Order: sequence, then structure tokens, then C-alpha cells
Amino acid sequence: MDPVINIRELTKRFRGRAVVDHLNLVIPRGSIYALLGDNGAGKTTTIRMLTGLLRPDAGAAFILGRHCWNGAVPLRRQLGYVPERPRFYDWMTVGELGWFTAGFHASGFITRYRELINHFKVEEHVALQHLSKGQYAKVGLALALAPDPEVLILDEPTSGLDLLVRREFLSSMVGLASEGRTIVISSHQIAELERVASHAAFLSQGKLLLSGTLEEIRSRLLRVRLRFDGTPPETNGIAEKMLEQEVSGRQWSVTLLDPNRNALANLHYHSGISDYEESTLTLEEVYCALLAGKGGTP
Amino acid sequence: MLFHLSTDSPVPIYEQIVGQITFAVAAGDLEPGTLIPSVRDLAQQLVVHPNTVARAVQILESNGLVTPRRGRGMEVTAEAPQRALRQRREIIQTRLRQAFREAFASHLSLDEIRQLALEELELARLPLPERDTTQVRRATPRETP
Repeated sequence: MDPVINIRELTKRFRGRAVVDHLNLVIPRGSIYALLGDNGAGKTTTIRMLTGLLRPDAGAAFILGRHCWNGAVPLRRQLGYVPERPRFYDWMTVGELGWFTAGFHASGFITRYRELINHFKVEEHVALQHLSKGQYAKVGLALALAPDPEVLILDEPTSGLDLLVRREFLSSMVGLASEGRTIVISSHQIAELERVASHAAFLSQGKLLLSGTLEEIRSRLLRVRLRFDGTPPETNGIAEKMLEQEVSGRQWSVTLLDPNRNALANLHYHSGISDYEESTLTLEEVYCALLAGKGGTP
Repeated sequence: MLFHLSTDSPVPIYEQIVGQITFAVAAGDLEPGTLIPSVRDLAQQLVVHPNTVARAVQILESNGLVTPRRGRGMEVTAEAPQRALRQRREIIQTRLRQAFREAFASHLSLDEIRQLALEELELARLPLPERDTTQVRRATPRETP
């Protein structure tokens, strides 16, 4: 694995409360890494520390070997960033904004910006204030992509966009990932990242609940449903951690993190147990289960 | 070729891709010698991570359905149609077996399961438009005076 972003014990406190709490993540090259969590989970704060806009209170983050705070200025040349609600000078036209921004970048910026604007089908001579939400977001993405960055960081990039625009947007992310670019996307719309993401990290109240490749995550969680006669089954030792348990009449359902296969086989063939059924979880179900069980081993 | 991928399905996305390409070869929609799109193009078209597509292509290659062709990506092999027909049978067999196991686990009687299977078989045999019109007719019996 070739780590492009390395986050070590990253911590940020606001008024004494830890908003990001000892976060550890390693993000490999070519990944589309989904940062998932509700509002207030710490996604935006993490991203602002990665982009060098916010100084960590403890720990550190490194992108391409550079310290995100101490090396923030040189790092900006290798980093594309689209904030949650980008705001530009709205009286400028799309073309003028590109020309203006090109002043901060190496040559070649304006040519690529024009190509991207063209590709996204946004017209150059229109003032930004007259663009639709989707077109405005595309201008933000074009500005972030024009310097040809190694790493792209997007904060809730698809919120407020139409379905078709979102799909087009995610498709261009896939294209970038196949070129070996590394993409970090935060979102609270978990389902739409299920297809495109290679990795995911689940955050809640500043803490990492679980992270890994989507396949690792899916293989670590298991839902077991069964029907029992007499007393409910013994749960000791059936998994590293039991996240949810529901009993309704004689039906019984548990969601397990790192299940113990031998213990489950015993359970399956125990007397009085019938209709034994195992199923995997969608990312959304994983998130709900993690929140219900509050944690696990990240 | 057209794909239909679903994230709700318990079948992982890479397996869905493998299945659909296998079916397309078996049905003759993808003939030997046809070039399949690059991982990158396919990933963008399907809006899935390139690793997922790469994994599907790897499986198709080890199943002997596609082979790398120097500088031109992957092409459908000469033996692909024959192999695909066999693999299609296996894929469908596994899905049916899963459905039948579930039916038994839910304590339906053998007769009920047999009945359901026959009904579904008949329904699936009907061409699609015909099925739609019968459904529409059934849903609005009072509209025609």
C-alpha cells in the first residue's frame, strides 16, 4: 500500500470539547475514501485540518509526506479542495474567475480550467450569480481540478445537486481514481457512495467507529436472525462485539462485529433453534448498527 | 452492452459485473474477438470504483472468458461462448438453490414451493410487454364501461 494521506492521533477541541478525537487513518493512492457520519461527526473539521485551514490541538496529518499545518502553503499546489459551500466573487463571469484564479497557479491552469468548464458544459461568459446550483458546484470542481492535483478533497460535494448531476460528478471521480489520483469525499448520504468508494471511515462525535476497504467492512459485520424455543440463545463469545440485539416473541436478531464462526456454527445447530439466517449489511445499515453499538475496534 | 447494477442486492457488485458479461457472452451479444472497454471506461460508465471493475475483469480472465490483447485491452476469447454457457448454468443454479433453501427455511410445504416455482416460471416466460398490459388491465377494471 502506498499511503498518500496519513492521519495520526489528530485532535481538535472547540471550547474544551473534542470535535475530532485522536483520529487515525491511512489513505492509500488511488482510493476514493468516504468519510461518513452525521452532522457534527467531525468530517468538516478533519477536512479543514487536512487542508491546512485549521491547526490541530494534538496529533498531526500528513499529505504526500508533508505536514498539513507546517507545510500548508507548498501543499496547496498538490491539493484540490472543494468546500461544503463554495463562495466565489459572484459578479465575475465563469471565464473571469478562471483568469483571476490562474494568477495564483502555475501556467497551464487556465487551459485546463477552460477544458473542464467545457467538459462540464458551463458557459464561460455567464456571471456566477446566474448559475444554477449544479453549475456553481461544477465551477468549484473545475477550479479544484485545474491545477492537476494529486489529491482531491471534497466536503459534501453532492449535497443540493440533482440526481443526474450527482451521477455525472461521481463518474468523473471514478475517472480520476483510475488515473491514480486520491480522493477524499465526506458525505452524510451514505448510500450514494456505496458504489464508488473503495474505502470508508465511519465517524461519530469526533471518534472513528470503523474504517477499511468496503469489502473488509462488509466482511466484518454480520446480521443473524433466528427463531428459538424456550430461552433466547446465549450470546457470550459469538462475536468480538455485539452491536444490536432484538427479541420479538420467539424471533431473535443480532448484528455482530467480527463474528466468531465456531460459536455461530454451535448456535446454528443448537437444539430449539430454527430458521437460522445470516445476511450482510449495506453501508447505511453498518452505520446505524455502529451507532447503536457505539464503537468497536477502529 | 448494457449493465444493470444494484447496491441493494446481496450479490457484490463485481460478481454482478461478472454475471452480466458471462450472460452476454452466452447469449451471443458479445462475440469472440470483441474488445471489452478498459477498466477506466467501464468504471466511469458504471460509476463504480476502478478496483471493483478490475476485480471483475480478473475473474473473467481466470474463467477464460477474456484475455489481454497487447495494447488493445481485453478481448473475448474463442472458447468464451462454450465456457459462458456452462458458467451461466452454474450461476443460475446457485441462485435457485439459495431461493429454494430460503423457502424451506421459512417452513413452506414442498407443494407450496413447487406451486410457487411453477407460477413464477410461467410468469417469467411471458414476454415483458404482455405482462405489463395484463397488469394494467387488472389494475383498472372499472375504467372501461
